[in-house]
Amino acid sequence: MAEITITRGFDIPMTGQARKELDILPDTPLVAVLPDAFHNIKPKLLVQEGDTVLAGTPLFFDKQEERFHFCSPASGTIKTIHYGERRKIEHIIIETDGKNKHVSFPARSLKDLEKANPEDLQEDLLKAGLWPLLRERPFNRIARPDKKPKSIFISLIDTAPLAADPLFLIQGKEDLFIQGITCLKKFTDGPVHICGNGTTDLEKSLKGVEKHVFTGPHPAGNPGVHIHHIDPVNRGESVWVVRPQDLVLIMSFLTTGVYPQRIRAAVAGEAASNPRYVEIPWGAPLTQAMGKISKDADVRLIAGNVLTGEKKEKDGYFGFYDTLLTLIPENRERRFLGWITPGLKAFSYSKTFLSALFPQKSYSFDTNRHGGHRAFVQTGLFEKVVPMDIYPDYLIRSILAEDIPEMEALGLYEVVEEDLALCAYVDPSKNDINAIVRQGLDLLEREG
Amino acid sequence: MIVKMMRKLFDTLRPYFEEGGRFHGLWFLFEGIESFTFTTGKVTDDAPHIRDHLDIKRLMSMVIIALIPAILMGIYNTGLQGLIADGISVTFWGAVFRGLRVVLPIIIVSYAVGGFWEVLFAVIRKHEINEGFLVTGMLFPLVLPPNTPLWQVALGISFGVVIGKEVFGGTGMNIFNPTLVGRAFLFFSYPSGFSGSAPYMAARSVDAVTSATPLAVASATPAGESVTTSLMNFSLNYDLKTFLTGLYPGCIGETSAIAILLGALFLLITRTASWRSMAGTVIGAFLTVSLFNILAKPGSNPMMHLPFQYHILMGGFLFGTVFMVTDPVSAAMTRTGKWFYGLLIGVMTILIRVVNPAYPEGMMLAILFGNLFAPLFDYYVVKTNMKRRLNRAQQ
Repeated sequence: MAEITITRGFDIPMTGQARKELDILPDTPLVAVLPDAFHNIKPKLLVQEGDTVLAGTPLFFDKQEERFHFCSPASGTIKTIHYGERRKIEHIIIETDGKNKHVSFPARSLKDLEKANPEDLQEDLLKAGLWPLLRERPFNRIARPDKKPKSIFISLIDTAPLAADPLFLIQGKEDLFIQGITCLKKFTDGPVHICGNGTTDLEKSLKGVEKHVFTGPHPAGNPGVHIHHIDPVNRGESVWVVRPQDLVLIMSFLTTGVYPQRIRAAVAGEAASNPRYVEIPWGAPLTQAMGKISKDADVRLIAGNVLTGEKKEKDGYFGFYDTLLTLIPENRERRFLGWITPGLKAFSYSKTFLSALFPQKSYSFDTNRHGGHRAFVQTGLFEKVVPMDIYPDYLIRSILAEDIPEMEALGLYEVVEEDLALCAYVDPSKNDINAIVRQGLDLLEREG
Repeated sequence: MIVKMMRKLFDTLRPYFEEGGRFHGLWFLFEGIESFTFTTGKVTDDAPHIRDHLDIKRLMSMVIIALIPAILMGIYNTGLQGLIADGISVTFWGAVFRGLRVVLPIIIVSYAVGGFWEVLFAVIRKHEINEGFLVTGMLFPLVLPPNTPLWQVALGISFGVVIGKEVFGGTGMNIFNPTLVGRAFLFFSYPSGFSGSAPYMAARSVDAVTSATPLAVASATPAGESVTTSLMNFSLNYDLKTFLTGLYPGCIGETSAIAILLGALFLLITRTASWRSMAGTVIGAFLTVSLFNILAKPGSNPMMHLPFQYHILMGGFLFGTVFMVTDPVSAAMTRTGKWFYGLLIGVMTILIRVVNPAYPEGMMLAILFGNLFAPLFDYYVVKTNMKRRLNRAQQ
């Protein structure tokens, strides 16, 4: 067991943490599947409006890797298929019939699972559309079925602001999780690495895995940081990243043969009327979970955390991977001479506000950009918030220059957007670092 | 009330400057003035959905705040030296007013002329006006001798902004510190005002009275004599206490060690400036001075005997270390690079001062020299990082 202390980075002290109570919500008349939830796939539809589907019926597949199926999370009929610009499929809405019928797959006992060979498991997971829960670094793409990863990483901690606690998301289903690890081992010749804070009973009870303890501020919980410190990714290599909650879904499917139709998620943020954990239908409308919000309230809905999540409309749906809904106030207010105010209540990573002298436990955060776009000034801030042997400024500049060999050499294989998201947060020039990193990853995936 | 009216004024004027408006060409001037008055009402487009409260404007105003003690001491001291030079009896307010009369026009010219170029380039290039200019425009007057004619101030800041920054592509792209480029230009073009031993005039209209700066006195010390003694014996009795308070002739903002150190403290507490660059410079100077002190023989260059504390308190060393070496754009960017960058500047400053008597003030040239090498330090730091990654892959 290795203990790694992260010193660079910081926690963003937001108000509105989800209470550790599970609110089990009823089924909804509508659920949706959003192809955009998956990076870089080219969806090809298998159904049309009016078709009847079961939980686990494929709705579309990826034209580049035809084995990647994406399925309906509920039984019912296809109500509408929304197209965006250039006939991009935005969402497929399913009117549920409340009968919870599902496509049948073999249910495996624990003994079967132990004996099962990975090819069979893989085939079932691909067919059932649950394979995309296994993700691969670099690029954070869906794990490629024919490529064995050199190791598999599971993180039991999430240090992002207001993050859903992975352990609470799997609470009561720890057995499935533990069995899942045994199954995952079949997919790699290397080790399975479990990264946590070292204090939980679950961690202590695990056997046959490599355990690591990560302490320190965000991004100490990022898989990217764990991989970097334990088994960094080089050109041509890949590791898998599996979230505990996803492993539980996979195992629930493998042991019962039923497509999992419900998931857990956290609802958090200052604008959330009732920040707590919810159990909801997979693909449920956001309105079901978020509770009451007055019609004229100017609120930002974010699927995911405030650093990397996706902006959603009020009539939006939970995506395939979403286990957190963050609600924060929009702030379009213009303050007079705001740049020189003392800022007793303004959180800043820098020490340029009075709040540095009188720190509070948590602060109100809103969507105001707090400044105009300016030319890149390298303030040395980025290096302070990235706990990796990587020079973020140079990496970002190599992406802007589209210099592929340089991006590789500077370590782009080792990061995804979330690993550099704190750079974007602190950047006084307000550049869109997340978008730049994604642009670099896409370019490298295409050409590298 | 007034705030509301201003808000209304901006909102009324805004359409004229926006896309399709009559004055759209001046949009960035409008944006500059508006964002100075009111914070942005813009929200984030996408992730990250929240942003830190710190922006460039605030970052730069931190430097201005840090400069306040040096500015105030500069004004008072300039007035004081002017009164002394004129033989007028000294009162506190007399010195303040005299200082304001000399220093304010220099600051105003620096901001007006430099600001003109800044806005011109922003409008032509269609980019935002960068607040970094607020710092350049204030640093420049502080590194000038108070008797600099206003036309030279205008010329120097123009050269600094245009040649030192804009020709490289603007803020963030410049290799050299624009302030020092402007000062170097004046230094080499009109050396008489900068030599330090030239007549010191606090008021342009008044007859000059000779009173050399400490570095000029020091470098003029004849061989075999002690620099500290000749400083002490100079008509103004230069000793460490004088240097701390800064009530002696010199560049406007550079004389008072206490004022500069107050600024340094503020910069370090707010973490606005890099302590690594500062520490590197001081350590570099210390090592070089120590080496010279050890090597010095009784008959050798008297500057070689000069102890460390004199070096750092005389001339522009402290001011440069605190406000110039730490300029984020022209300094090294990596942590390791910042150490080497600072060390080089510290070493070079002392080398120039001791070995090259033609330039008693080494700081300016050393920093420009450091600027030149900063990218090289970063290059090696980053290359080493790349090599580490490559080796790991080959294992």
